[in-house]
Amino acid sequence: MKMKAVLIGACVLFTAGIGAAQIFSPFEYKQEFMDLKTAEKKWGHAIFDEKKFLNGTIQDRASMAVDLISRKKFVGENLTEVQQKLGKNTGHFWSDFIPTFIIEDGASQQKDTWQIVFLPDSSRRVKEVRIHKNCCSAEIWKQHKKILENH
Amino acid sequence: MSACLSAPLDMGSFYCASECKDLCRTDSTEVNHNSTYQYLNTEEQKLVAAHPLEAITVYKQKNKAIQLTETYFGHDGEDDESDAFRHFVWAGLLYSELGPDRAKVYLDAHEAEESVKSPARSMDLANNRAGQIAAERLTRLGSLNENQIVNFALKALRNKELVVIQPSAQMPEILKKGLK
Repeated sequence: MKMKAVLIGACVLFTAGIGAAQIFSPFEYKQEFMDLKTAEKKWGHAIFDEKKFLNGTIQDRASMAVDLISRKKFVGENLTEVQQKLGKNTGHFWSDFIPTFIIEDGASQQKDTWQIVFLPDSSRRVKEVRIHKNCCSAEIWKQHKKILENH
Repeated sequence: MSACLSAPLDMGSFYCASECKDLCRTDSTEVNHNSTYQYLNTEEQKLVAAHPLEAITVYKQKNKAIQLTETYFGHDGEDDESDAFRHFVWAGLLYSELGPDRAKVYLDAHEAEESVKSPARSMDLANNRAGQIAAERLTRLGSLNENQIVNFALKALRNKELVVIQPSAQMPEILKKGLK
């Protein structure tokens, strides 16, 4: 009997913990990021060139992503300066002041979209640059396809 | 592991401190940050500090708006149709949760640091306003809910009633669906 009560108590605490974690966990918790090795296989490793990035196509930007990140380009720089140098956002990550650039847009083919995101520290300087899956998780794709079928 | 990365604790709290090198590494699906606080502008940070409980609602609705945008558009863009949709829906959801006045405070705060002359800011504010007006109308009709907000947003986009400063090269599938 005592054992049963302990087990029920543990289950309740566990469930409450999951609920609390979902409410208070950081935004990044459920986000997906790509490591540089995978990115290099996917898009290659061209030398980063600021002007080429600013005026380049999505493919140009993708090819320079690994170099930009591995050389820690822009780390420590002000977010506004980054946007002035690299152009306006083409992707989205939580807020418009976070520089975000799409490097693969798969939406029209129902494939994943990837972006480079310049994650800030508390003083609005670039803390790190990462390759983030803009969209979509397997669950979201499932819902997306269902909606298109039913709409 | 995710809890270990997300919790605001140092390794002194863990029995496995000697294994940190292995246990605390990040991989492609996880990232080590303390909170989303640094992703908020100064105005939003002030609001969060003054109204922490309300801020949780705002945070949850923002996440919901992003998730709905991904679900309907298959991407989460900037200055395009998905951006207009996201703002419309977020505004509608906030109206529903907080009422018109408090919703507007948070929506305006989100745009506070953009240059007044920025076309992107004008677009966001216009689409926020459209979402609030739709929510007001739905309230009068007694049918203010997430599904109706989404339907109104899609209808407004199809009728070109929302501001989109950089339409997608290919019209999103979801918008083609309702066109005859």
